[in-house]
Amino acid sequence: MSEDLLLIQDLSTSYFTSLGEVKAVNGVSLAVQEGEMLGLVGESGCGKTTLGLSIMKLIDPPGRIVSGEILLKDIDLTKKTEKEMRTIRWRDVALIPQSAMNALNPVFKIGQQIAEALRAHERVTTKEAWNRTKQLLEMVGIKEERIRDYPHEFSGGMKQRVSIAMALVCNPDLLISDESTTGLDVMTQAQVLGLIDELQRSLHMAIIMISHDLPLVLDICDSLAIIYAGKLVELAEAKAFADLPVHPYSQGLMHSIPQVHGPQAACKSIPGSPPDMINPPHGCMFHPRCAFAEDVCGKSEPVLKTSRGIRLAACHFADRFGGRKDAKH
Amino acid sequence: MPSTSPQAGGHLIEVLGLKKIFDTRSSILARMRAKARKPVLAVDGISFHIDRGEGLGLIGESGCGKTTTAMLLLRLINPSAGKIFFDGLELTSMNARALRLARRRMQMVFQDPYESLNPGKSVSSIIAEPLVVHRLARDKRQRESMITAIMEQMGLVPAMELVRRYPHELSGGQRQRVAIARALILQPEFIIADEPTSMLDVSVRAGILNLLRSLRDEMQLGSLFITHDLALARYMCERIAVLYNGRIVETAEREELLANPIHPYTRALIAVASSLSEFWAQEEQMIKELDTDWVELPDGCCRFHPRCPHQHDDCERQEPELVEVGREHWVACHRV
Repeated sequence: MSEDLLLIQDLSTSYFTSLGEVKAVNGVSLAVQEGEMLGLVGESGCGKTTLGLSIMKLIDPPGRIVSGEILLKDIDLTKKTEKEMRTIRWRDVALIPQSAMNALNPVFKIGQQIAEALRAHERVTTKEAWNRTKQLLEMVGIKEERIRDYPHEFSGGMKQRVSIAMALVCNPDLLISDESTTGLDVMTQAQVLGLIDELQRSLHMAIIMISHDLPLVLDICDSLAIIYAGKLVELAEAKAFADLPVHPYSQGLMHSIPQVHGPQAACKSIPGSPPDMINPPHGCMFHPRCAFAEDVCGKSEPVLKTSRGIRLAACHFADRFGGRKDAKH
Repeated sequence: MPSTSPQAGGHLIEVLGLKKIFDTRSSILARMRAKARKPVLAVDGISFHIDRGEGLGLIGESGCGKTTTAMLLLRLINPSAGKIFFDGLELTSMNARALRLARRRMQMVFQDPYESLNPGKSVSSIIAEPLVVHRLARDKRQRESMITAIMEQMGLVPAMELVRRYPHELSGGQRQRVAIARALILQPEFIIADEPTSMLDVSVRAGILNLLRSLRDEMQLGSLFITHDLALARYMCERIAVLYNGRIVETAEREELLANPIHPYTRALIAVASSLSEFWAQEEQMIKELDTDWVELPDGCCRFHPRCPHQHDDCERQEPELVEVGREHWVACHRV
């Protein structure tokens, strides 16, 4: 059907709470190619983690995937049973969850924990598992002799490397990294991201990098998707985005970040706060905070359609800001 | 910036050789362990000064002593050695009564507005608390008008409505504004902001930063801004001090520091903040990664040497002192 490794079409995931339905992911469509690094950027509560968990089919009640397709290598994951998903997770798509490094079991040696993940998914002997573990540790830059150490004997950055090694046990084609370096010191973060970048190249893996840190994503990803209140508002190549963010929300994000070099421009915040997801605004989700909003924004919802290589933003006035609202699919 | 005079030289804040040692062996449990650890030198002989209306940015990784320094400045914990002068008064030798008076003039904004506000108190009683503690503005109507005025100054409008709310009814940005209002209602002369925006979303972060900047200019507030983000420090402060493992390793005016960094740690920090791909390309020459969190250092060595790519013999034998390399630009490195 397509050359895309992952193709998400019109995906909606909701949480059904006692107060009402929260549309955490609301009609998102996007594609990831083989070997591509896509950054998924948004503020807390915008649905970026829910989107990542939806791809893994790890949404627990009261949450549920309501509609849409998740095509991984042309196989629709939404139609897979839990049993079938178990053979897909880790092998085809793996996740490094938020604060994975703190999820390592403190009473087991790290080698045991990695080998266990491998043995749960592949028929291998103890010896084979141990050898593969050594190989993985070497790949993430941990010396072989540390295989018998416990998690507390490692620094934060090293623990994060262990959790990366674990995600790679079955050579996944797609890796979802959810804020995997948040909480690390800047220097350690840079080193761990360097490792992810290197592995992505050498293993030719596709990565979805979920993050709230826009400058960081712009720095390391090929392309990025901006999410606001469960909706994809802009999809662009990182370089093009850095030069010209199209959606007013993206523009606002870019203006709110101080720079290390160059002229010191005053930072501007986006007025207001993210919408109440139980009673979201009509029309464009962003219009109550948008400086360019007109009547139409409160009435009808702008759409975003995916198409490779063309700038897309979900805004009624995207043309005005240099993007293209619609394109041939 | 080591001052030549032992007395305060007219600065709002002057810190001389400040030290804080946490004795990890003091508990019985720790003493029973076979391998007793050395005491932790959280802050080890740092000196700096801050003038009125000036901001100093304290940069460093977690555990380097940034927050300990903040707590020492307010004397929330007592220093092991060194002196702190506030407007010429020596805080370190003050009795409780004098300290209480001094603390009226220095306040702190904490990192996490979800934890630093009492969930059981309304906005008005949170903001009024410093007035109650210091027994000021005891007339009810005067107090109310002070609260409304400061809330409006903080952009907490409509104040009449927000004043009755509880913290859970506010957004993250509003909570931090309440925390700042609480710190500023006493009209302090010095304020410490400990990572005040790290828990906030990007879109509201700039609002808090700009508020702090304008307040500083209007009230001629001296400020210590603690962060791990160089770009933020540049935006908020005139001068930047880089802290590593309890010591200031480099300090200078912000643009000087960013344009001509000398200490290898500062250089690595700037490289990381500028472009990750460039940092990766020359990572080997910039910094080494440590395998464990805890590295026991022998006495009298440069603390950075286990991670430093440019070591020579002196680094393991002698702790480098801060040396002035340019106007108000100090570096502690043997290679200077």
